[in-house]
Amino acid sequence: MDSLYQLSILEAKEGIKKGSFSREELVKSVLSRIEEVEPKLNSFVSVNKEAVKDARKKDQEKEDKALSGIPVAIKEVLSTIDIKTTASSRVLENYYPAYDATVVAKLKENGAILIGKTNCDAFAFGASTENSGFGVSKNPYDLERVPGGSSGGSASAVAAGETIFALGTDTGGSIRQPASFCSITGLKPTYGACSRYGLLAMASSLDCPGPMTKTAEDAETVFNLIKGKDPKDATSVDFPEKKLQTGKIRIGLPKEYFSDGIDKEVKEAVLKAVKSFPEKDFEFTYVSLPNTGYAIEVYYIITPSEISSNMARYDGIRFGKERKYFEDEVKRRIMLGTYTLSAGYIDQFYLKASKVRRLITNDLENAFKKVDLIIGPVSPTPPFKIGEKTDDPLKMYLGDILTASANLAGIPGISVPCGFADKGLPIGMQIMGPRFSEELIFFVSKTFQTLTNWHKARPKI
Amino acid sequence: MPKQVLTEKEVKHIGKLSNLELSEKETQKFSAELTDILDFVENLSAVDTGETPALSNINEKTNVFREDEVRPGLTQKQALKNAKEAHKGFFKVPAILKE
Repeated sequence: MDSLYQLSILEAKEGIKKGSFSREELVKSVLSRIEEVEPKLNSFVSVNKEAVKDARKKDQEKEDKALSGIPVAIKEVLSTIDIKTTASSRVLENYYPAYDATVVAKLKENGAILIGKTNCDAFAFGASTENSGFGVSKNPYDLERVPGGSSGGSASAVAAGETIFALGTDTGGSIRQPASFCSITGLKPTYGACSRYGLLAMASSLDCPGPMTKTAEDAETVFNLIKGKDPKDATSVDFPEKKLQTGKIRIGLPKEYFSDGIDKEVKEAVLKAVKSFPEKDFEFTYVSLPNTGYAIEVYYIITPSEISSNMARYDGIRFGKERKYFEDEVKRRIMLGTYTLSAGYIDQFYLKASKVRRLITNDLENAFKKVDLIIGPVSPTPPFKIGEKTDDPLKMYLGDILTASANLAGIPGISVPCGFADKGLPIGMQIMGPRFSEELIFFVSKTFQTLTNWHKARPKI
Repeated sequence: MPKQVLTEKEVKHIGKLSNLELSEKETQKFSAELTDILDFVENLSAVDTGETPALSNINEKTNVFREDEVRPGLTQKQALKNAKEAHKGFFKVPAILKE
């Protein structure tokens, strides 16, 4: 019983239900794992000291809720009442929210126990956690490499057993890419499916909170608990109930996602994964998404534009420190967005990008007339070394090429582990579908995880 | 197409618009980096967008209305909890007008 921290949500629930162990034992196992590996990983900005007390209370009450006693780690950009929420920026190093984010409140209502707040790039601006004001998090599969980002701390914590599951946020790939880098499952939901209330805004038309878990089944469990319309987020929507389709599932492989710019080992792993689906139930065809090659250009105009507006709230008066304490990437994006929205340049940049955003969305919608889902890699490379891209922001941005389109088009995408590169570095497979196709995405991901064991791998740390 | 150079003077101006104080070193650094990024995103000028309408939010909602009812909100104490300085229930801010 010394490795309770390795359990999935479903396994942990079953163990508690059967009386094999208590909620307190589960929480203590996770906390001692944090104590053991945290000095090497730096997944967390803070750990919740009340967690054991919470668990004990739930044990005494024999609480009967969907996630009763299950530890969850929450990304630092999601507000947690009276628990420090820094966005991993020095500007908010002493900020204590007066309310919970809706997705956090929903997990608490379902009995989950907040185990800690996870590190990320400051305000979620980045793809490696290297932009954090609290130091970089490490990849549990190779401590010299990044865990990805921006939800890197959530990913490394789940992979290393520092929590049973986590929440992340995804604006251009920030759940899927770290999930891929740390060999876990991560879902970026349909835009609006999960409330953004209490999520420290980055790009409001793209931001999505979502689950980061050990299995697709767990991701589905969490998603079903946090989804739904929220009166506090005007862009949130009711999730339409749909029956799963019958007949063969048609899957498209976008040829742009297997082009020369994508690492050979990554391509091979994904194509091999695709072959594991039985031919009697699945049909594969190549599709083309001609405008997705412009996803980075569009993303790095629209996102900084929205950022420059959202970040205006940080005045250093009502809360937080002065703006001079912003990390470099934060300053860079605020200035970039101020420029692309300014008189004389808004047509050339912001409006042009918004039009190409429509073209990218149309590409995807057209593809979904022919296929049910699209499969490709998540990241063009396996996890890269710490420091490898920090001197060249543009080089870092290019890594979002396979994930940003889903955000621009508001569609869901999941990353599931699908193999390892030569050096033992994780590779993820991305499954995307039309808006509100989460159920089918989960079905295919769960099928994949019954056919393969990649999701069962654990880092030796 | 020639590089769309963002001069240090322009960076200073953008810094001012963004309420960011920049050191000389930062100004130089950001001028070079932002020039690179703008030069890259300028690739979009090659895309024929013709009559394509802009897409700014995928739900394409305009207004979302609700009843104008009083609902519970933050207490004054909660709202001031993170303030650097408060005075008699107000945020205390630096003076912006001279006497």
